[in-house]
Amino acid sequence: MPIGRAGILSTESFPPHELNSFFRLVEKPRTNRKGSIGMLCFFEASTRTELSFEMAGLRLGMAWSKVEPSGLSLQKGESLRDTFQVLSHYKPDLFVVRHSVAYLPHAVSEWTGVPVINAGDGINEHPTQALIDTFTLWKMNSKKRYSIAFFGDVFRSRVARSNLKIWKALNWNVSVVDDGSENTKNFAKAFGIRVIPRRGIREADVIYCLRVQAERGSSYALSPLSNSDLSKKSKFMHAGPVVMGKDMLLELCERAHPQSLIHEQLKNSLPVREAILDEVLKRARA
Amino acid sequence: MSWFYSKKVWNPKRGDFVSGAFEVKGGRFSQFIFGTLPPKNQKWIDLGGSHVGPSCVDVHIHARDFEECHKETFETLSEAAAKGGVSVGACLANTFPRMDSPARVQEFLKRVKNLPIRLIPFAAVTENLEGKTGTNWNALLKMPIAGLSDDGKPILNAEIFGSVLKAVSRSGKILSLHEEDTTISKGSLLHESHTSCRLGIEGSCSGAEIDMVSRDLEIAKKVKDSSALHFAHVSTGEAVRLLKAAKKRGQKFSAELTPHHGLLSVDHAEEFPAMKLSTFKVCPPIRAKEDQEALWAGLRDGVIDMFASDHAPHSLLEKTQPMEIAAHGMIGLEFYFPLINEIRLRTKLSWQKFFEAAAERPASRLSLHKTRRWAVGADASFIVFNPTAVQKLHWSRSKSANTPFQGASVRGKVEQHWINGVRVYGETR
Repeated sequence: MPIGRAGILSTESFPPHELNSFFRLVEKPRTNRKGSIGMLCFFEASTRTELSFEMAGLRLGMAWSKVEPSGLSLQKGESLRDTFQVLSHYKPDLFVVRHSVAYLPHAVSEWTGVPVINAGDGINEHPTQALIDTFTLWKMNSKKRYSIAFFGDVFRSRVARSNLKIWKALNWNVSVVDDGSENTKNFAKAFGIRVIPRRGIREADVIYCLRVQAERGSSYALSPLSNSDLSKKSKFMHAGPVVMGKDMLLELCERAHPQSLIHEQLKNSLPVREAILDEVLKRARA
Repeated sequence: MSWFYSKKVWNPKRGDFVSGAFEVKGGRFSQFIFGTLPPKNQKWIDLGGSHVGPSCVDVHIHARDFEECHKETFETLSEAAAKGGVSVGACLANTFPRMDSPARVQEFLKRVKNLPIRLIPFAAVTENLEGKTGTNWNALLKMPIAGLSDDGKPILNAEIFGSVLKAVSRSGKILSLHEEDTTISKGSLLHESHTSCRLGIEGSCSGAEIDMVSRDLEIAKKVKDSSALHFAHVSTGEAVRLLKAAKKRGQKFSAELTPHHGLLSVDHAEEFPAMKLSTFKVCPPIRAKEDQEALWAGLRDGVIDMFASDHAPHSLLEKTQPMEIAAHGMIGLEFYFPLINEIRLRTKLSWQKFFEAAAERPASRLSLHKTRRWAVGADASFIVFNPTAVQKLHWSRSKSANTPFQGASVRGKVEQHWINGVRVYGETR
C-alpha cells in the first residue's frame, strides 16, 4: 500500500488503479483536519516542498510544528533515532521528513510508528513530487500513455527515481538523454529505459528537465535545454528549483511559455499535497 | 581415555571418509585405525554413520568484549563458535578498548583463558587503529598473538605498511589486511551496481579494494621477506586475478573467503525490505555475480587458501538504521560449518581442499600446525557432522542476530563438536 499507515515512503508498487483513485480524490473536497498536528523535519534546504506542505496542511485546518535541524540536540551528539523517538513522544500525527540520508524516512516510520511522508531522502526518492508530476500529466489526459524523456543527471535525482517507478507501472515510454556519463548509462540499464541522443527528445511528448544536483557531486554534462530542443507537440517539466541558464535557457523559463508545464506542476502541488496529508491522516486513524 | 567409532572418519591419506576408530588420550589423538572397530576389550562411543573430521579454525572474528558486551561477550561468542564447529579463533583488534598495547593483550588473554574454544588476539598496527602512529610492534610480536592488523580500517600510509610488513614477517606471525581505499569507497554501503542504482544508494566501487591490493603486492615485492601478508575478506574478481599473478611470481601470502562473499551477490540486497537493507551492509561490500564466481575459482585453485567468518556482531539498535548510518558487518560463527560446507558443495571443492581451507591452512597461519593436525599426537578437536542435511538457519547463540542468512536453508549440520577430547556441543547417542 503506497499511502498507508506508515505514511508515504516510496512510489514503488503503486498500483495504477490506486493511482487513479488517488488522483480523483485530489479533485474532490477534503476533510477538515483541525486538531491534527504535523511535524515538518527538513534537514535539507527546501522552498516548494516544505512551504507547500505547510500551506496544504494549514488549508486543511492542521497545525504544524517546525523542527529546525540546527537547533536540535543532534549537534550535541544525539543520534537521529533518539531524536525522532523523542519527537514522537510529543504525539505528532505525522512527520514530513527530508534528509540527505537515503531511507531515513523509512527508518523514522519504523522507529516511531508515526506516519511519515518522505519529502526526499538522499538520491533515493521524492514520492510526493512524483505524484504531483504524474497528476499534472493525468489531468491533461488521463487516458494517454505518455512518452517522456529525462534531460539531466538522472543518477543523482530522487525525483527521477520516484517518477520512474510510477511511470514504469503505468507502462509509459521513458527514456533518458545521453549525457556521455557512465552513471546515466548504468541508470538506464538498471531501470530498463532507453538512452537516446539529444535530438531524440523531439519525439517525446514530455521532456523532464532535472536540476543538476551540485550538492551531491553532479556537474553539467549537457548544455541547457532550449527552444531548439522542442518539437511543436512537446511539453517540458521541471520540479524546480530551476537553475536558470544552466538547467534550461531563460527563453524556457517564461511563465507564459506555451509548452511549459512548470507552472501547472506548481499549481498542482498544493491540492496533491493536501490530498496526501488527508489520506495519510485518514489511514493512520483507520 | 576413550575410543570413538564411525563409518565415516576422515582419512587424509585416502582423501575420503572411511569406517574407522580413533583413541583420545589426555585431550590428544593417540591412535587412528581405519577399516575396523575399536579393540575388543575397549568401551567406545559410537558415532554411527556420521561424518567425522577436523574442527574449523577461523582467523577472522570480531569479539565485542570488553566494552560492547551488548553485542557479544566472549562467552556467547564461544557458544556460537562451538555450535558452528570452530575450535580456534583469532580476534581482530578493533575492540573497545583497542588491542593496541601489551597490557591490553594481556588482559584479553587472561579473560579468554577458560573458554571452551581457544581465542587468540590480533594486536593493532597503529594506535587506536588511526593509521598514524605505530604501536609497540616489537613488544607485541613477542606475545602469543596471531599477528597485527588494523582490520576494519586499511593501512593507508604506505610507509607504515612497508615497515610493519617487515616486522611481522620476521616474527612468523601474520599481518591481516583490510584492503579498502577509503578515499574512494564512499563509505562502502553497497557495491556499485544496477542494484545500488535502483535502490538509490551511492555504490562503492571495486577499485577501492583493487588499488590497495595492488599497492600492497607492489610494496611487498621490495621486501625481502613478506610472508606475513594476509588478505582478509577478498571480495573482487580483479583482486583474485592480482593475487593469482602474484602467486605465480612466487610471492607468499594467504587470503580469505567469507561465507557472505562466497554465497551472496549484490543483487540479493533487493530481496530485503528497506529497513532490513542494512543487514546487507558489510565492508567490503558483497559484490557482483562475476566477482563471486572469481572468488570460487580462486578458492578452487588455491589463490584463496582459507575460509574465515568475519563474524561481526551488532545489536538491533545499530542495524535498524538506514544504510548510511548502520554499522558494517554480519555474524557468521553459529552456522560457520554449514555455510562453508554450502560453499564447498556449490564450488565442487574436494574434501581435501575443504579441510585445508577450513582447518589446516588457518591453523598453520596461527603457528598451530603441530597441534592442530589430523594425526596422532595432535589436539583431539573434531566435528561430527552431516554434510548434506538441509537445515533452516535460526541464529540464537550470539547476542546479536545481524545476518542476511536468517532463515536461509543450507546444507550441512554439526551434530557434535569436541575440543581437546571434551564435547562442547551436541549430544552423544
